[in-house]
Formats: sequence, structure tokens, C-alpha cells
Amino acid sequence: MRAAYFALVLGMVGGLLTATAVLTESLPPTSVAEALGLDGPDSADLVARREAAVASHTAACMAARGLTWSAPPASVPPIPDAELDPVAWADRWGFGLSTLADRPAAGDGVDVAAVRLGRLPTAERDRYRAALYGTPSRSGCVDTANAAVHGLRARLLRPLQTPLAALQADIAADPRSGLALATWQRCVTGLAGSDAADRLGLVRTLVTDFAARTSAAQRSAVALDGVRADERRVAGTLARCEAAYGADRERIARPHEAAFVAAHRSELLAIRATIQAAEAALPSVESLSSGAPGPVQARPGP
Amino acid sequence: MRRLRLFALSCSFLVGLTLVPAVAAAGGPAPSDNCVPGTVWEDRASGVKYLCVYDEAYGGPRWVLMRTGQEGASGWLSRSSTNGCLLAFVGLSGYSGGGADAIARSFRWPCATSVDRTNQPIGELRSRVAIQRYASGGWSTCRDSGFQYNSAPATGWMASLDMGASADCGPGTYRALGYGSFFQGGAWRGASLLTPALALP
Repeated sequence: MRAAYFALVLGMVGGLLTATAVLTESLPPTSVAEALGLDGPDSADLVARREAAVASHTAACMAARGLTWSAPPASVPPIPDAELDPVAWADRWGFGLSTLADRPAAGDGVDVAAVRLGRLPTAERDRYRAALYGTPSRSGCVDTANAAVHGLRARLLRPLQTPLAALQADIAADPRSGLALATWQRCVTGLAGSDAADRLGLVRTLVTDFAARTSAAQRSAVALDGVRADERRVAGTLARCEAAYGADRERIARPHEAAFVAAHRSELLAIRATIQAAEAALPSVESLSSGAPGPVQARPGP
Repeated sequence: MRRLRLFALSCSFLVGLTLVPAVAAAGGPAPSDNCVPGTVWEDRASGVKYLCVYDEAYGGPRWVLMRTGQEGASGWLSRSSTNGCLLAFVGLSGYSGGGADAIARSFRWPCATSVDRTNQPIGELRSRVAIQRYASGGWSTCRDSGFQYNSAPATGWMASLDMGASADCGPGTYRALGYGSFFQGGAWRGASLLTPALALP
């Protein structure tokens, strides 16, 4: 009897959870990021495939110019704990100045393609460099590839720039925006040397100050430790004030943004579908040619 | 030979995020440090503005981010007599919208003053900047310039991003991820940097 009752309750809870999930999934988006499908973190796979696509586009462009080129996808050296939220990152790394001061420079490793390019006879090397990096009269293949892969969102979102600017003006004109800024100014009052009149200027001042202090303290481990502790404290406080300000702004923006999304829903969803289709079509890293990197075999140009 | 060994390069790196006008992503020469103190220079591709100041320690004039409406900082993240140094600058701004600059400048050891600047051959100096938005669970890339390589011998190269008069990915918390490096001794030597997060628009 008890087991049957337990099963009944379990079934009801399960049904409720399923219904909630379905309803949540089918709710119309209320924010621009949600409507565009940009409200979640980048997957490592997507990042890697974007870089692979740039490498692939570059090779194809070079081939079209009569030059054989192969290079593995390039990537940006990682920032420590880059996935952390702003407050957690500031608590751990401050502004990333004194806390990163004695870490070895994050190199990208040996670039065999660039080494081989540098060893070509001058005329041949110049041809490759002009084709890869461009000349005053013609774009390089790297730029073309970047535009094709990374420029997609800019191209798709361009028609929305004017309405997005109007949305921003609406949010700025909301009387609660001034109150949010006043709250932020009170929040940062305790920070040394703060000039809360200019929100962005304050951040710049603080970061500049810690950069100078880091520079001055680099020869003393004790002094550097002191700067680090202070930098974490100040950056953490600032990040909390900024997070609270961001939350206030989000509350203020919500109705404006919901109205914007409702008015532009079909455009936003069309952009989202195009972005998702383009990303689904990106090549995998494994699909790239595994040939020797660099100017594999130079042929006469067109 | 010893002289050659000492010919280590450094890279000063500058990132700024601010309100901007028109293009999407662009690369180009960084503004020359041979500037007249008091002069203002605007990166037309991103809208980021710089002020020329005379820096006694640097031994001459140099560009810094203009204070109003923009924020940023610089610091040597790495100093090596073998591989050079990395001076990092990170900035974030945006009364509305957003744009970003990343400037990589090359120096030779001891990477201390303006006379240490040195030209990098074509394709051996690069910068990149991405604008990321924080959402539940993590950061997503809203815009990315991709690597911008120098297409002419240069001491500095710049990558720019423009989001127009409003943040492309909607209101929210944004940061810029900047990167700069130079090619030396068969490898790229550089680093990535983050600006503090900022609520936009």
C-alpha cells in the first residue's frame, strides 16, 4: 500500500516536471540573447570548429590564388578560469595584473607553417605573404577566412542595429536607470581613489593604478603578494557592485527587451536559424588536411 | 651573435572596448608613437579614442586610452631577456553599444622605452579581440575579430571590432578578450587578457 502511494506521488511529480519542461521549452523568448540562441556558453567543440573553418577557408583561398598552403587551426592561449562568473574571477584573479605577473607568457608553441614560410626564397615568400596577409589593394586570405567565419554574426545582425539602438535608448531613458547608477555609486564609495562620477573611468583608474603598482612591486615577492591581496579585494568589490548594477539594469531592461523581441521575433529567429545552420556546417578539426604545414608546394600564380 | 640573442622582442598589448560607429572587424597598423602630446587619435573602425601623452619613463610620447567613457590599464605580464616582454593593457567602456580594439606592439629587449620598438616582418605580429556576453552558465562569444596579422612591416598592429550603437547580443554583461603576440624563434609569443566585465548597453 505504501509502495503504491509512493509510486503515485512519484508519478505526479514526474508528470509535473515534464510538463514544466515542455512549457518552458515552448515559451517564446523574452530577451534578445535568448531569441538569438546566444544565451549559453560556447562549447569547446564549437570554438575548435570555428578555428578549423578559418584554416580551411584560408587554404581554399590560397589554392584559388595558385598557392598551396596548409596550417593547423590557430587558437588563443587560454585565460585562467575564463569560465568563471565575473565576481568569482575577480575574487580569484583580481584584474588579472599582479596575479598573473610571474606566470610564464602563454606561448602558442612552435608554428611550423610560419617557420617554413620564413625559409622560402624572398620572392616566393613575398608572394605567399601578400596572398595570406593582403596588400593595400587586395585582402589577404586570412582576412577573407575571418570574414567568412567570424563575420557571420556581424553581417546577420547589421539590419537590427537601428532597432537595437532604439531599444538601448528606451532602457537608458527609463527613470529607474538613474537610480541604478546612484546605487552603484554608493556601492563603490569605499574603493580607494574612486571617482564614481564616471563608471567606466573609475574602472580604468583602478586597473591603471594596479598595473603601476604591479610594475613597481615585481622585484619583491612580499610587495607583490601585498598588491595581489589588495587587487583581489578591490576587483572583488568592484565586480560585486557591477553585478548588482547589472542585475538592476536587467530588471529595468526586461519589459523593454520583451517588447522588442515580440516586435522583431521573426527576424531574430531567422537570424538564429541561420547562425545555427552555419555553425552546424562548420568542419570538424579532424576533417582538415593532415599534410605538412606551410607552403607545401609553390605553384605559379594565376 | 650576442647582439642578435639580445634582440628579443616584446609585445605590448592593448585592448579597449567602447562605443563605436560602423565596420564589423578590421585590422591595421597601430597609431605611431611619434605623436604630439595632447593629440587625440580615434580608431575609426572601433571608435576607441586615444590621447598622446609624454611619458618620461618611456622616454617619449605614447598613446593611452582617453579617460572619459573608456577604461583600461597596462602592465608587463612577462619579461624575459630571451623571449622579450609582454606589456598588457586592458580596457572596457561603452556608454552604449560596444566596440573593441586590440593593439600588439613589438619591442626588443630590454623592452623599456620607445627606442626599443622594432619592426616585425609581414605576418609576424598579430592581434585579436573578441567580445563575450555572460549568460547563465558561462560566457559566449558575441563577436570575434579573428587573428589580424600585420600586412606590412610594423611595430604595432591593431584588431578592431564594432557593434554599432548597441550591443549586438542584447543587454547584458560583456567583457573583451584580447590577445596579442609576435613570432620569434619559431614560435608565437603572446598572451590573452580579459577586461573587467561591464553591464551594457
